[in-house]
Amino acid sequence: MIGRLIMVLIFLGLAAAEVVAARDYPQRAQFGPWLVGGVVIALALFQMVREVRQKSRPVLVDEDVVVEDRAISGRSYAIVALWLTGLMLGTYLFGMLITFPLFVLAYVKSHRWGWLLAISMAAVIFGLLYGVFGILLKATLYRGIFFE
Amino acid sequence: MPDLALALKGVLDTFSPVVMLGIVLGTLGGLIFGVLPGIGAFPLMAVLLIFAFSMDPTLILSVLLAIHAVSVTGGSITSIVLGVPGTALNAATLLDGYPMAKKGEAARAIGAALNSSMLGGILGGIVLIGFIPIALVLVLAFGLGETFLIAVVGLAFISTLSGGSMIKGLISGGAGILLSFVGYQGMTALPRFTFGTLALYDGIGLIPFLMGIFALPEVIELALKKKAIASTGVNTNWAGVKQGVMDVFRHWKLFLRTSAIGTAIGIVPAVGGPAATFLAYGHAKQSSKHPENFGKGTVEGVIAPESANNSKEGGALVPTLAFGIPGSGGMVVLLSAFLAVGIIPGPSMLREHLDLSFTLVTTLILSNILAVIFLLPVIKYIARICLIPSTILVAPILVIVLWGAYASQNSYIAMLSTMAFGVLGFFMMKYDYNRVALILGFILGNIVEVNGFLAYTALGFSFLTRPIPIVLMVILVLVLFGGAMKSAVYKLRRI
Repeated sequence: MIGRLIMVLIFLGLAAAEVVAARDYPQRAQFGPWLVGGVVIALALFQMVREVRQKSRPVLVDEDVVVEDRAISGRSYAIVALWLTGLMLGTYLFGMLITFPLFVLAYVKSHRWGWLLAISMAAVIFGLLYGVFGILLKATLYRGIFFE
Repeated sequence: MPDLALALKGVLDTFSPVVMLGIVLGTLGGLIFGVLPGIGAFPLMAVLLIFAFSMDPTLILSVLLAIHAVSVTGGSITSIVLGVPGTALNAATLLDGYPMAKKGEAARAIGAALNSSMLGGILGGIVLIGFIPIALVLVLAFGLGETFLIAVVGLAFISTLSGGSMIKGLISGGAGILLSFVGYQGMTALPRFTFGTLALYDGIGLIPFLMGIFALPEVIELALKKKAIASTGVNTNWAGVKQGVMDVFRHWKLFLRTSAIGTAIGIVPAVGGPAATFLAYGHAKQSSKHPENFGKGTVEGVIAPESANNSKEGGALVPTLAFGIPGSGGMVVLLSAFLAVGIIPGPSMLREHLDLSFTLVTTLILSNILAVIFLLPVIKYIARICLIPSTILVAPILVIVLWGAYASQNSYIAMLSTMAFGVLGFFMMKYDYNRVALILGFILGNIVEVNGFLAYTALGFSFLTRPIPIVLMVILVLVLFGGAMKSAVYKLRRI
């Protein structure tokens, strides 16, 4: 239930933030956010009451999906969150050209695939980024704060 | 009355060896770049624009149009097979295309997508030929009020698309509209809800938003479940492809209606392509006898957006050629190429360069046919991607999605916002909030606000009494109350 309440709170927070922030805007810029924000706040409050009144219930109607959903442990979520955080942090620090191939290499290898496959995939990603996007299309690649 | 000899010359120019080779290469390039998530055909078109000054105008314009016209066809492949929209125009395709792939019907879904894309593109081209003589009247008929009402009709589809919980659907749609308000407001030039962050002044980018809301949740789910996309096996034989191709003919009325939606919205410059595909999807769901199957992998959910996104290009060429007003993002690049070769699109374009106009129409049709010829033989191999273990697929998809988001804005913030919206999209998916409503609200929110306000300021409520707004208001009522009216009629008949 906590997850469902947090979802409602996110939407409620978004709407409330825009309604409050719009109070200093001129009328032409204020009307839309106040109208839509007001409706979303009302609906989100209504939904929140519904969530609180409803006791714990399966998240999804499809039984197979519910079983599958329960099978995913909190640890799995934490591991995926760590991979994503690592990718974003690595990109921020070292840029795309270094982090992306390394991420592919580390992810594939850590899931018990062979070195040959992991290195080949990392090389393909590097080739795609450097060769096709960087050289051929002259696209800018984010370099990270260490190499900026 | 157009000069028929000049029009015929334009058609024949397309079949000259050099232009044909250019169209073939352009089609291949468009397909390849369309497949790359979030990147689309713009980088390739922008690079080729450099050659516009030195190349034959017919050749360069045909190549650019071919690239642009088929990139959405390529984009449908990644939407269906990986659940990652190739271009913004393919986002609606994944709603049913990806669930079809999960059920082992990727080949059928791609077959349906390719056939509806090709036929939609041809239909868009034919409509363009028909509309060239009346283009001026037609484009002028769509003013601020009409654009406002088209967008309102689009927003009304939120109630249709809400599926399970209407309240959650409306909250999602409302949140989408609120997010569209971030950045400079069109009519006051006031930066709203930026909280001092420079990166938000231009608003939230559509590509990072789409990638986050649609693509990342699927990648996260793949990473969590550690299974192949299709855990039930994949039908990769020709029968699956053929079934998909034939599905379009079985649903020919839906195909025609959604192609018409695509073409009509393509003509209106301010609304944009992604809106056309979502409106077509919404219409398909509303008019279906089994709306409950939408989102679970029904072929109608693939046919509708794919026919709309290709037919849209024919419509988008109308204002580009007749007024020099680009009807879509790709048309902006095409317009730049026109100017680079010294041709100024506008009312005189149809008199002075009628042959070139017809060359472009033929290119549009031809490239759509070529795209299908190129892709059909490889569908069954593409469908096998669904059998690759997720532990191999997750990392490359993730980095390509992030690169696509970065490429759209050249900013690390774009990658960061993709990730943030990805987490939001994942939990929306988990807790049954409607992601389509969120996207539809985001795409149309600003259009409704700006056009509605300007129409009211200029004309008061009198813009509602014009013929097109009246028709649109009737459609609005049908969208909002069509379902209730249908069930009331059904109940009366049973009595």
